[in-house]
Amino acid sequence: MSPGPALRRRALLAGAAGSVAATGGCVGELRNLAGRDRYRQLSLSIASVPASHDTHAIRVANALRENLERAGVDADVTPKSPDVLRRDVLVNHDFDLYVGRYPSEGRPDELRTLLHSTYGGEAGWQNPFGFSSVAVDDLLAEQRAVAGEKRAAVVDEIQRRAVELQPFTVVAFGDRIAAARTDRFDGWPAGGPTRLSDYLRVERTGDDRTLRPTVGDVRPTRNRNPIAVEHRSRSRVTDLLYEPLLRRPADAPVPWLARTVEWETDPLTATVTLRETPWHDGRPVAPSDVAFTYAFLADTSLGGMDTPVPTPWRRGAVSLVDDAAVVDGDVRLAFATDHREVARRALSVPILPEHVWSEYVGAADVAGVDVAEGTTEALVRSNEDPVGSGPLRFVAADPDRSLTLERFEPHFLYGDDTDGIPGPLAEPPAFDRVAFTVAPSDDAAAELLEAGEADVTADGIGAGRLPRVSRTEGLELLLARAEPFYMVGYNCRRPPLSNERFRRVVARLLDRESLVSASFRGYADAAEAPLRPPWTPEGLAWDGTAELPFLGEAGALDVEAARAAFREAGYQYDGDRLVTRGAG
Amino acid sequence: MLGVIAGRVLAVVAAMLLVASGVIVGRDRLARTRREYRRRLASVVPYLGLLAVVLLANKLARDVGPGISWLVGLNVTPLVHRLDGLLLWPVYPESTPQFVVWLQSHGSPRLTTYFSFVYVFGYVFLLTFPLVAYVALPDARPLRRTVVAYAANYLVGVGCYVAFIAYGPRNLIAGDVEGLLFTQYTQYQFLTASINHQTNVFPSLHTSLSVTAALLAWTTREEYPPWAPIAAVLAVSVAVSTMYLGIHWATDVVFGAALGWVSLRIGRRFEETPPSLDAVRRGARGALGRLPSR
Repeated sequence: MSPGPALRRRALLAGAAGSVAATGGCVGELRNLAGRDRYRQLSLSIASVPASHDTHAIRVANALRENLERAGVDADVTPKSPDVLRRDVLVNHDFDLYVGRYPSEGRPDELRTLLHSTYGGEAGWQNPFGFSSVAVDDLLAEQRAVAGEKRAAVVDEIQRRAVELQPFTVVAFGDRIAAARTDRFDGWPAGGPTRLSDYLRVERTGDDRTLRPTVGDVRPTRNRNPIAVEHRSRSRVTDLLYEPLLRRPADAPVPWLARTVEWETDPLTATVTLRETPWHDGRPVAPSDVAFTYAFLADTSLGGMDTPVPTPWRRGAVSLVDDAAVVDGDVRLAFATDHREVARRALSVPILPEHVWSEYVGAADVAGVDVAEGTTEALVRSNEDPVGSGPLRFVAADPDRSLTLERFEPHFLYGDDTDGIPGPLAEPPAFDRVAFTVAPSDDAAAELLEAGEADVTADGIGAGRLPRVSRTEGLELLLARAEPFYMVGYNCRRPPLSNERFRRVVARLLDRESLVSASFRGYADAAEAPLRPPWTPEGLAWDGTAELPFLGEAGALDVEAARAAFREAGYQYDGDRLVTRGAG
Repeated sequence: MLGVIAGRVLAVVAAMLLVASGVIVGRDRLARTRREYRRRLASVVPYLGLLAVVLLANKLARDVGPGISWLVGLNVTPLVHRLDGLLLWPVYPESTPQFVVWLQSHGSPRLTTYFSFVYVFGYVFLLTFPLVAYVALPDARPLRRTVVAYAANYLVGVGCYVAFIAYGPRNLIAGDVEGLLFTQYTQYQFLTASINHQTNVFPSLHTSLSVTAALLAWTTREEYPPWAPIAAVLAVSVAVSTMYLGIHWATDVVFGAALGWVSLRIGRRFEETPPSLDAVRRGARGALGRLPSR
């Protein structure tokens, strides 16, 4: 029962009269108190891909979630389809933590792409973490300016800083595992095919002239845009269609679209003479296409927008070129470094036909990318009918099911303009067609191989399927150590992940040894530094214990130690929940 | 691969239908049906038209659905995972296992074979047999009821698939749960992958349609006494198999069962007159009319 209106009014008046003098200070106190945010348990979401796409990543994510929860953080794992995950992480920067495989090629300059603070606002693999450190920026610039031992020392220092500041946590280098049957084609490299050169080296052992690889990933059947970072997958189909000036089938670079590259120093420039070879639509590959490519990748709007819109993929490589111009029928490239070993990375980007891509420099308005502003059509078009210049040409694709390529005989490999290309690579491929089939899982890929409906897995299989493959007669297991590493990436733009002390404790919730044996079944090398030897700094080479060691033993977290570590980093607990005010 | 597997499923289910028709429907009914099937089908034509439209819409929605879903849908995977983790709390309050993990811990190779068979063949049989059996009845209502209930399942289910993104246990808690169907009987994955997308697990349409079929069997227990218990056992087996095989969460199954029940209610509602825009309008007006007016 509520009091009558008269009574209420009287009480109010009395209260008001009494409080005018007395509560001046009290109201202020109340305002101070009510204006404060309440403590709330910290929530973090870990984004990753479903197990059908990458078992290893989701298992690392699950292990991290469990330990975060034990330490009092409300954590969840959200699986997303790989293109959606990349859009959220690399383009929209909408994530807390992310577990995935970084497609490293083992070059130190990649760290500049991953960590340089000026890339923090761009979309793509360039600094997706929003990490910023002036000291690290200086080191990243310095590794481009020096060479030899000096550069090795700078690269060591960058990695030490990366381990100290933890913009991302390296977990392990996962092995590349592939399976092949050899009754039709043979000669696959350890780890299975990853590059065009791997396909070119294959020999025919049967009568069938169609090579049938499986892909686990549907993205190439839907999108063949070589710079659409969300859609580039392990199978690297666009690598077979588009060609760079130099290829690196092994350690030594091989002149590919370039017939010769002549270097001059002070300042470093390269004069590139192209081979005579056409695009897949018949027009010749011209020096102007090369000059166009470097200008276009640096700004896909070609000056049409207020802010340049650089490529989200291979941004670091493109940034090595200061200027690309056509001089007397050749291409002259001026570099942002004085060292050839660094500059060569720039020559590995795919060259694009100007007559196709110059039509897509306008602004794109596409749902799904929340900042449609500052996005060009070139970045979002699906490029269904790609015009490349590779020895294989696109024929047809059935979305989510298959993709077919065939020989493109006007290509220089089918002629005799192959100077500088070593023996087996200078020959045309041993097949007429490549018919990729989508296998919905690793087991399905094994099933297709067993049934003779496929020849090789083009994007690898998970370690869990290894026993099945090795027990099946007629299947060959292709195993190799690899440069790409699994990592936990932090969105350093968001508190508390913006705090390196917090990230350092999160890194200590990961037990690499037990992750490698359980999640990777031993087919990975635990690691703390992002580069493999010879670039791994002394002291960071894996010796069983991390520089930021696991807070526990043999996979079991020491909960008290974890909480003590968070407390020491300045975080508070309410009971067993880690609580923060506001965003954290 | 897909063709071979689809052919095998068709052949096995056809054999099951033949046997079941002989035993459950009986020779007399089949003979009468042979004489009268034109008239009987004619009396359900609008219903079959409805089912065809719904199935077509369903196919389209499953093709373009995932794309739309990633733009507008809600990723409920973590939520479903959490709900599932609470289910066994009354039994194990100390450390509650995930329901599907707990279920798989009671597994055996024989159970895996049984549930894989039920998931693929038993399910298709459970859904198709009522159509055969109810055509063999002179009363058109059970067949109409079936068609409307199936259509309702698909409509609501596919709506949920667009609104919610959810991955099944085999895709999230991969270390603890094995996608048994696909590791043990991989060939069927070519079939399931061509029918459905892996983000479409909430709710379980396998469960909802099976529950609908079992409830339908209960409504016709006087005409087909043996079918009701068979359908019940099959429906429960299908529901358990979706979890045992690591494809669905228990939460999906609970919501699927609810959808199956609601769908049957809808089927009964429209067994006299086919659902049409007019009927919907009248129904809506009726509902508005019943609102308390002041």
